[in-house]
Amino acid sequence: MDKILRIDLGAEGGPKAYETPLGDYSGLGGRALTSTIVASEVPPTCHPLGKENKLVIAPGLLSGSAAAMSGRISIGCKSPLTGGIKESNAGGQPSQVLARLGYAAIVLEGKPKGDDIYRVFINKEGVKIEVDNTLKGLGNYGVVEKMRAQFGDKIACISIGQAGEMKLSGASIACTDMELRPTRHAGRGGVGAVMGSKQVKVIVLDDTGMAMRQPKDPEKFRKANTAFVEGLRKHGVTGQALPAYGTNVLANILNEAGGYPTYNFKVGRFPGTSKISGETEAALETERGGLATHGCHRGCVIRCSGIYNDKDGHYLTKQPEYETVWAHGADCGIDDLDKIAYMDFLDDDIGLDTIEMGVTIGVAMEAGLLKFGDADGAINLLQEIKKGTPLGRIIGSGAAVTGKVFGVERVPVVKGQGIPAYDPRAVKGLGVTYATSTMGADHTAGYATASNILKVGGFVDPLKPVGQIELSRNLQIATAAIDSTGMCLFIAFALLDQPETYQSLLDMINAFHGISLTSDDVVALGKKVLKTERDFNIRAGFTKEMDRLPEFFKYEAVPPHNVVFDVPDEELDSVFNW
Amino acid sequence: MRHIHLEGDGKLEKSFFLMLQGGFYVECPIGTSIKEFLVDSIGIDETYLAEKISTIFLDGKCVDDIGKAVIEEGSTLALSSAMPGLAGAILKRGGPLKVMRDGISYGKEEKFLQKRKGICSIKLFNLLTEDLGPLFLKSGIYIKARDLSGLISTKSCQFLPRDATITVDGKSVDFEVLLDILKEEEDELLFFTFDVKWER
Ligand code: SF4
Repeated sequence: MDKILRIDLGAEGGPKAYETPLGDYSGLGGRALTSTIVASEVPPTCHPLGKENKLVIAPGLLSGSAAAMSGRISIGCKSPLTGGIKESNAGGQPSQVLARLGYAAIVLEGKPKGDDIYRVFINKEGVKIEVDNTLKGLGNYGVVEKMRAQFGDKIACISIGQAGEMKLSGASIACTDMELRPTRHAGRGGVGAVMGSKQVKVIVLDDTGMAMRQPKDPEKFRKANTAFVEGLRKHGVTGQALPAYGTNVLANILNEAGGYPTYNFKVGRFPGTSKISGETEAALETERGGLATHGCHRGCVIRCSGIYNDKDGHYLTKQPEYETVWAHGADCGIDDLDKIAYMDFLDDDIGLDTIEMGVTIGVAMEAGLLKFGDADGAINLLQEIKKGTPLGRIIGSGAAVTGKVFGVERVPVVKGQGIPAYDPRAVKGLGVTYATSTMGADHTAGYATASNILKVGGFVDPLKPVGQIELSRNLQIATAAIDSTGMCLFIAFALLDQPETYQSLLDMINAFHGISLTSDDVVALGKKVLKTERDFNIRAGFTKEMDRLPEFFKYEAVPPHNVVFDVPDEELDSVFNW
Repeated sequence: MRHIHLEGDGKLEKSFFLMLQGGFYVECPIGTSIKEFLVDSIGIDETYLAEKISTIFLDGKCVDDIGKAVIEEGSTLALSSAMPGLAGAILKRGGPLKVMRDGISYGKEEKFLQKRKGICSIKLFNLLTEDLGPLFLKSGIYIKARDLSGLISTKSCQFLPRDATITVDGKSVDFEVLLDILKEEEDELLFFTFDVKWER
């Protein structure tokens, strides 16, 4: 993994692939690598769909090795949704396969002439870029089936559906899972539109004949990996709750807390929650012969995912996640799990961010385009996107655009990106992160609950009250650090409570690369990544006035606790003072 | 009030756990702390309470100090194991991130209420349904007939193993009769108990 594969789509005579050494990017992986490349090579004021934007796809530092949980892939660019820098990550197989092929990143650059679309095939022999207009207009499932027929089933695919081809700002990039289904998405920020602007429909990766990446110190690495896995297995969240119920286990408790945004953020509790909760979802999956415990890639030991079958026991989609069930469910007043699962399938096939789509449909409901609770109407809107009708293109462009078109004031977005499944008035600390994240409203931006163990900004004494600003800052730094390792963020809970599990993660990275990374280095990396991203956004024209929640959160109290978001603007402005 | 009693195996008992997430009523000592209630009245082991019941809501407010939060008449007490993600960490009782939800935390001021018998509502979530569900189902819960019929009316009668028994107010009835009763009295509260008589 010491080289970058660059594909210049706009090269004279047609797209050309070439390799460059890692150079200054050496030692970086995941988000650290995508954000550093974007910040140094993409002019911040460029058009996100223009030739100067780049799409960077990077595995993590330990991807392709035997390290558990190391299969996240980061995808970065200038976002067409937010206008700022974007890193969106996904599970699935491509990260492992790309790393074994020896690439630290693929960079799509330039812009093709004409309207052909391309298929990129990468194996140990090299890279083939071919025009394949038979893929035009296909959904992700159709694309992957064609690739399976052509290249066999030992491949992993990174692809876009119709939404990406139409360059809609809600478009995602799909990564195939262990069953070669396009179910894992880099969803946020419209990264699929950027891939669409490069006219690359699919990247097919085949690592046949490539060995697993080997650690510099195999014995130390093996021991650290064993301790890391033990730590994950013994923890209540990573060893029990997540495998048993998946992320949607959060629905009941957010609802109880009055922080489960319902009817486009009007109230904090949804009467239909127990019909769509993780407990109900897992029971239904098991009853129908699906799976309630399943990994999204080989090497995952938490296995928070699952397989959702329809009433007749046939595969419908992967287990819809908490944010998806919330977005298409409570936010739109829909309590039918089968319809929500079908929308998850449509999002995956058309290539759409499930959060953005749910939030957008909620805004459309608020506009009176359809009624809250109208599941069939919501499904129709997704079909409109697939067909590329004018209405579909509006919805596919996300909540901010839809709100403008239909004259809606209550549009829950920050920097143009839909606010996810946790009401920032009830859980104010999350509101601070939504407002100030470099990514736009993003629940994963401050997800690394392990900031305490990481000792970001000094050890946070659990008994001493610390402000939400400081905590949000620490969490954002810790998250940027974990994202940069390419590990799944769900390891964070075990790291929070078990210092020895965090140490084994560090030991694993060190033994693999033959380095001696300390906790301080990790924190410094997290800070550097955030600084780089923020600097890009400032150069793109972002101001502190954009680090705000929509104003209705300040004056509209959310029941049942009737709380508003009252963190002062000056405090928000101090998040990045360190 | 009707008393519906079922006897069957552990697998059948498990089918009723999903109902517990929506809430049920139990008799409880008003004016006592959550800790006293769970340990002394319900019989939950203190170590289990400390280690496994990591997220607690009283009337929708996140509770940090279970020795001080007091059960009132009609209170809703929701119990959960530790939850994933940032939201999970924030809502965790006594966790280092609790300040991030201070607007919805249970107040610090101590309440003194006359101790007496009353009724409160309990919600059991996730891993706790399997651990604590049997305890509540054995001693009995009050639920709306609608909630029970909502769970079993979607199932065919094969859902009940042949050797399971149903009694309504002490009289043995079959599955269809039970469904009819539940439909007729859907807004009524009933007392429901389940006994595991054998394991398969
Ligand atoms: S824990 Fe979940 S998201 Fe993370 S790698 Fe495993 S299956 Fe994928």
